Amino acid sequence: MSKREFYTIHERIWHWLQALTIIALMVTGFEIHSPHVFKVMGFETAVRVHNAFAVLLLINAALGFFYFFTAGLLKIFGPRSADFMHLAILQARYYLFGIFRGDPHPMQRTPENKLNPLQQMVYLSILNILLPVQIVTGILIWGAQRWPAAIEQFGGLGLLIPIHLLTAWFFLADTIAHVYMTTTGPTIFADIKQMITGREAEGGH
Amino acid sequence: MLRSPGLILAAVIMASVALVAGLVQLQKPDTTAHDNPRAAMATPAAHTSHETFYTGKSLTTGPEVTAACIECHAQAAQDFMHTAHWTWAGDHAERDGQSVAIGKKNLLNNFCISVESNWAACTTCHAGYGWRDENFDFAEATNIDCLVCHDQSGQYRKQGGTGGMPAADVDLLEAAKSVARPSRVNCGTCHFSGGGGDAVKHGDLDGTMVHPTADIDVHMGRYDLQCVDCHRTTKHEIAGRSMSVSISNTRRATCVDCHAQTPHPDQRLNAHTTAIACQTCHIPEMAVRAPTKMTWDWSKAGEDRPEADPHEYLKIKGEFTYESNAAPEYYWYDGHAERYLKGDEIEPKLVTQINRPLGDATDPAAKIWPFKVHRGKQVYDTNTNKFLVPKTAGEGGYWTDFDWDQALRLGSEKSGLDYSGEYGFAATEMFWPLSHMVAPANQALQCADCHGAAGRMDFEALGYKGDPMQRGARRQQGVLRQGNEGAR
Amino acid sequence: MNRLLLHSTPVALALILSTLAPTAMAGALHPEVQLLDVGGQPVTRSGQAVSPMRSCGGCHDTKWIEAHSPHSSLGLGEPGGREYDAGPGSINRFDPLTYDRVSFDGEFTFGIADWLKRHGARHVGGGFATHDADGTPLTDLESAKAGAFTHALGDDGEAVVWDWQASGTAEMNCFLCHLPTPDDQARRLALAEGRFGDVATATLQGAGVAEQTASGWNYPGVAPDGTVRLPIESPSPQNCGICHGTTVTAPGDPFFFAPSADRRATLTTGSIFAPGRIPRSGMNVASRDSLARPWDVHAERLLECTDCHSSVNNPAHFAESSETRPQHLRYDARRMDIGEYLLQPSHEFARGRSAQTTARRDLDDSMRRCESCHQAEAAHDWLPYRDRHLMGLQCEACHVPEQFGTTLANIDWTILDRDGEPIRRYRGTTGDPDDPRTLVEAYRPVLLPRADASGQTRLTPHNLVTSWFWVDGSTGAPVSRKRLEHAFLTGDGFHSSMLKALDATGDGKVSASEQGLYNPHQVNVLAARLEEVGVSDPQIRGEIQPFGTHHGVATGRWATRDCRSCHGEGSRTTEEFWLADFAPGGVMPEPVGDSGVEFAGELKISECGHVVYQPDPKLAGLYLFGTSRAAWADSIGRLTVLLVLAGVFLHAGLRLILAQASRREERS
Repeated sequence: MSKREFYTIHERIWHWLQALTIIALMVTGFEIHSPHVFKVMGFETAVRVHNAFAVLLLINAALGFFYFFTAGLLKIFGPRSADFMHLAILQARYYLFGIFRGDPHPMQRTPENKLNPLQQMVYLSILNILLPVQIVTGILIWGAQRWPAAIEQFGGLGLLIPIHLLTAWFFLADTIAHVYMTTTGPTIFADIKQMITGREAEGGH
Repeated sequence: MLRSPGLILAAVIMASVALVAGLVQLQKPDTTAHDNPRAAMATPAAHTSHETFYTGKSLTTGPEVTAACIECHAQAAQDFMHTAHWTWAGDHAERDGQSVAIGKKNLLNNFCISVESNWAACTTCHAGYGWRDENFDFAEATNIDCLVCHDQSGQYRKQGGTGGMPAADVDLLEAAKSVARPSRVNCGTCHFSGGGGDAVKHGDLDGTMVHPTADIDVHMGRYDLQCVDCHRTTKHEIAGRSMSVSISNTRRATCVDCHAQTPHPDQRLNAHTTAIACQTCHIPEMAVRAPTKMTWDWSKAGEDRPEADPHEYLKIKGEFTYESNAAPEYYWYDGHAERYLKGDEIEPKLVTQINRPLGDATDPAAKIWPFKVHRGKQVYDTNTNKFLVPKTAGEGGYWTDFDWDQALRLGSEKSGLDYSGEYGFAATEMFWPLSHMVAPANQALQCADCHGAAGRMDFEALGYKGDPMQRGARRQQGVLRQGNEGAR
Repeated sequence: MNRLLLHSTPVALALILSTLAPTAMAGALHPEVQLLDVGGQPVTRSGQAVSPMRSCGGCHDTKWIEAHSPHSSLGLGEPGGREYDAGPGSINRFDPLTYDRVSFDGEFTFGIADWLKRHGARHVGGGFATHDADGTPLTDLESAKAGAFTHALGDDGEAVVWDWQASGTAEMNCFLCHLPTPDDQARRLALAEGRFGDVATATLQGAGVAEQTASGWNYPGVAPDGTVRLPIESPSPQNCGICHGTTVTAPGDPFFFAPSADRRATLTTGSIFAPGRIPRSGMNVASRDSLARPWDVHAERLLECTDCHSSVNNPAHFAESSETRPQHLRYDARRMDIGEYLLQPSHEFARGRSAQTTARRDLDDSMRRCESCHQAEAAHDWLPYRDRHLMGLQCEACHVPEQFGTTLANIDWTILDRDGEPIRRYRGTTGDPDDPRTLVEAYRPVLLPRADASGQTRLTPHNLVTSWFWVDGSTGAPVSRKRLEHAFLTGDGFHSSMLKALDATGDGKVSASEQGLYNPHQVNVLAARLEEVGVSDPQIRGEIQPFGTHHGVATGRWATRDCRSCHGEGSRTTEEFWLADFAPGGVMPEPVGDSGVEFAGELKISECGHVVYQPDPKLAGLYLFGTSRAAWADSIGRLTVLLVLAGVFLHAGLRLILAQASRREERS
C-alpha cells in the first residue's frame, strides 16, 4: 500500500524549526546562566543569539499555531473518544511492559489521529503551559530593558528568571524524553524518518 | 511549483537564517575603526636579489658601480637626475623678476652656512661622486651614487672631503650585490648627521632611529616603518618637503596619506584637527634621546679656550647650546615659507628669520605646528648688510686658518656675493618643523599640556583672543579672515 | 548656528564668574581690599592680625556667608548622628579616622580649642571657632564648669580655661580658598600653637603681603591706609585639595603624596584628582607603565571642583531642583544677578549624595549629576541592555573601576602604638606608605546598592573602612583618646600588663606583628586596664564606614567594558572585599547605620581568616545574568533532567537487552 503522508511539509518545517530554535535557545540560555561553565560563544554573543532565536521562536510558534488552528489540526491534540483514559492506560502499559515483551503498539495511527493519549497530554502541556510560560517570562525579562517599572509589577527579575530557568530545565528534560520516545517506533529511526519525509513509517502502526 | 515542498523548505530556511543573522547583527555595536592606516600603505615592490650579478665586472670605483647599475636601470638614472637629491635645488624663487632655482646648493642656513666654496667637504652627503667644485658635471649619469641609498651591506661609506667618493676600504662589489629598497640606515647616513654630527640639525632625526623603541618613534619603533614607507617614491621622486630648503607645498609626505583626517574616537580631539597639525600633539618632545643643537654663535669661534665639551664650544665653530627632550615652539604654518635668499639685505640689529613659516590665525589653511627653532649668530657684511658665505672647509678655509677675512674672500669668490672687507655677526633664527619622533598615541599631549595655567601654548601670541577652551575656536572668536572660511 | 549663542546667559555669566585660568588679568579683577583687624582698624596702623570678616566684610556680607557655610559649622547645631553622637557633622559625630570627640555634653575630655589645634587644619574657620552653640562670641564666654567652648586640655591632661582673648579666634579664612597660593604651612603652625587669631594672616603670607614679627605683624606692600591689591580668585582644585584630597593641576607634575588625614578623600577612597597620565606621576602604582590613562578624566579636561561643586546660589550654575520646578519648565532663567550674588554668595556647596557626608542632608543631590552634562544614551549604543545597565548601575560603577591612591582599609584603636597612634592598614600595600618607593596595587571598589535622589537603587562603588575601638558599655560612647593613652601608655612605653599580654615572643617589645588583640586573654587584660582608669564595662566595637568613590573617573577603554567583569563567576558584584586581616578581639564589625548604603551581602571570615565582606546584589533586588543564582530552580531542574536521563537509559537499556535476547532466541 502506498505510504500515506503523515506530516505535511508545513508540519515538518514547523517541527524542525521549533526543534532547532529550542535547542539553540537552551544552549545559549545555559551559557547566559553559567558563562563560566558553558563557554560556547562568549556571554555577550550568547545574549544576542538567544534574543535572535527567541524572535524566531515567537514567529514560528505564532505561525504554527495559526496554521494548526486554521487547518483544523488542533483536534489532533485533544481527546477523541470517551475511553481516552482507558486508552491512555493501555498506552502507558505498553511503554512500561509491553514494549519489552515485543507487544504490538496499541494504537493504530492515521494522519488524522497521530498522537496517542499520552503524547496528547504531554504535548498539550508543553505547547499550552511550558511554551507560553517560557515565552511570556522571556518577553518580560527582555522587557526589563524597555519597561523596567512595569516588570517590577510582575515580580521583577528575581521572580521571572527562576521561573524561566526552571521551565528551561523542564524543556531539556522533555527534549531528552521526546527524542528517546521517537525510537519506540517499528524501527529505531522510523519515527524520525517519518518526521523528515512525512511519509508513513514502514510497517506502520 | 509553488507547492513544491523543497522550495518551501528552502525558503523557510533562508528566511530563518536571514532573520537570526540579522537580529544578531543588529544588536552588535558599531565597531568600525575610525582609522585604518595599514590599508592606505603602499606595498613595496618585490625585491630582486643582486647577489649573482656583476659577473666579470671589475667594480673598483664608484662610477664603475653606477655604470653597472645603468646597464639595467638607465631610466632610473635619468629620473634621478631630475630630482632634488641630485640637483640640490628643487623649488624656484622670484629674484629681480626672474625665476631662480633654489636649494641646498645655493641657500644659506645658520648651521654651517653654505656649501658654496665648501663643496668637497659638504658633498660627502651628495648622492653623487666628485662634486668637488662648481664644475661638477650634473649631466653625467655615472656620477650618480646609487649605493649610498641602496647599499645594504653595511660597510659602504663616503670619504669626507673628497666630494662624495666612496672610502678606500669599501668593498664596492659587495655593496653592489647587496642593493635593495632603502632602509632607515641609508637615509640616516646623511639625514641624521646634518650640521656636522648626530642629532645636531633637525631635532627629530638622529641615530636613535636606526633601532628605535616605540617611545622614540612609534612608526619606526613599534611598526618598523622605513623612511620610504611614508616618503613614497615614484621614479626616484621622493615625497617630502623640508622647510630648510623648500618653500613650496607640493609633494609632501603627510599623516593623512595613511591616517584618516579625523581618526580619534573622541569628537573634541577631532575638532582640533582644523587648527592643529597632527604633529603638535603627537610629537610632545623633540630630541627625545640624543640632544640637538639649539643655538650656534659663530661670533665666538676662533678663541683659544679649553675645549672641554664639544657640545658647548669648538674653536672652529663657536659656542653652542644643546637640549634633549625639549618642548617645541609652536607657530602657524600653512605649508609655505618665506626664505632668506643669498644676497638679500638684512636689518643687522634685528633677528633675521632664515626661513619663516607663513600663515597665521586668520588663515583657515594654516595650522599650528611644532618647530625646533635654531638660533644663531653668523657672519655678514657690515657695509652691504648681507649675510656672507665663508669658506670653512678645505684649504684656506676658516676651519684650517681661523681667518675670517680670508675665509670670506674665498667664499665670496665662489658664492658671487660682494665682500667689502668689513664683517660682523648678526642674529638669525631658523625654523625646523617636526614630523618625526612621533610618540605612541597614549603619550600624546593632554588637554592641560596646552590649555590652562600650566599649558605650553601662548594663545594670545598665536593670535587668539584667549584660550579656545573657554572662548571657542577661531571661527567662534572671530579670528578667521572672512571669505576664506571653509577653504582648506 | 553659533554654539556660544545657544548657551546664552549662563555661559556668559560663567565666563565672568568662574575665571579659570589665572592669567595676569584674572587676579587683577578683584578691587583693592582694605585689610582691617578685629577692631576695624587698618592693620598697618595697629600691627594686629587681619580679620577677614572685617576686611572682606567691607563689600561682602561676611556674617551671612558664615551663616551659610557648612564648612564653618561642620554640623554644629544640627540634629542627627547616632546615639552616642552629639550631632551629624565632623565636629560632633564620632569619626574613627580622627577619633577625638569634642565633649559637648558630659564629662570634659576634649575641647574646641583642642580640636582646632589638632584638627583645625581641616576647618576653614568661623562657626564654632568664633562662636559657641548659642552664637555667643567665644571671647565673651564666662567659664563656669569645664565645657567644650571654654576649656581645653592642659599639659597634664586636665581641663584648663582657654583664654580666647589672648589667642584670638579663628575667623572664617577667606584667604585659604580664594588665594591661588595660600601659605598653608604657616597656617597650620598658627593653629597647632593655638594662635587662632593669627591663622588668617598666616595664610595671607602666601600672597607676600604679611610678615610675622616678634611683636605682631608687618605688612610690606600694603598702603598705609591698609589697602592692597590681592589676587583673589575663585577657588582652584589646589585650594580644595588642601583639605579634601590630592589635587594636581599640571599634567607633567611628578607628584608623590603619602596618605594623610588631611587629604581625606584620597585616604578614604584612593581617588586622586590629577590631569596627567599615571606613568607621568611619581606615585609607585603597580603596572603603571601599562596605565596610560589620566588619573581623572575631568581633571584632564580641565574641569575644576567649582564647576560641579558650585555655590548653590551661583547664578551661572543655578538650576532649580525638580522638586520645586513646575513640570512645564525645563529651565527657569530667572535668577539672582551677579551683584547680589557677590554680596551674599552662599558657601553651601552643591554636592551629590555620598555615603560619608551625614550633615546638611538638605544639600544632598544639589549637585549636577553625570547626566546633567553627559548624554549617556548617546555614548553607550554599544552596550546591550543599555537602559537596564544605566538603571541598575551608577555611572561610577563602571567609570571608576579601580583606584590607585594608597587607601585606608582599617584602623585599629583597640591598642595604640608607642606614639599613641592607632594601627592603620592600607589596601594593596604592606610597606611604609610614606615611602615613595612602596609599591601600591590598585583596588577595585566594592559595588553596593544605594538609593539615589530619585529613589532608584543603584550599585555604587565604595571603599569600606573598618574601625575597631573601645566603647564604654554603659553609655555606648567611644572611650576618649585621653583615657586610652592614660590606660595603655606610660611615660616610656606600654603599661606593664598590656606589654605582658601583647608580647607573644617575650622579648620585652611589642613588634608590629604583635600589635593586635588576637585572643580573648589580651582583650580581658586591656578591658581590665580600662576599668582601672574608670571606663565602665569596656567593650570593643567594630564599625564599617562606606566611602563612595566618585573621583578618579576613567573613560573610554579604561572604563569597565567587558561583560565578564560582572556577569559570570568572577563577578565584581559578588567578589569578596577584604576588610581586615583579623578581627581584633574577635569582634565582627557592623556597618554604620546612617550611610544610606544597603549592605546586601555577607560579612564573614574568609577561608584564610580575613574579615571580608561579600556583597550579593540579589539581596537588593538586582538580578545579574550569569552571576545571580536561583538555587531552587537549578536543583529541581537538574533533578528532573537526571531522572529523565536515568529513565531513558533504563528503558533503552532494557529494550536493548531484551531485543538482543530475542534475536538470540530466533537464531537458535
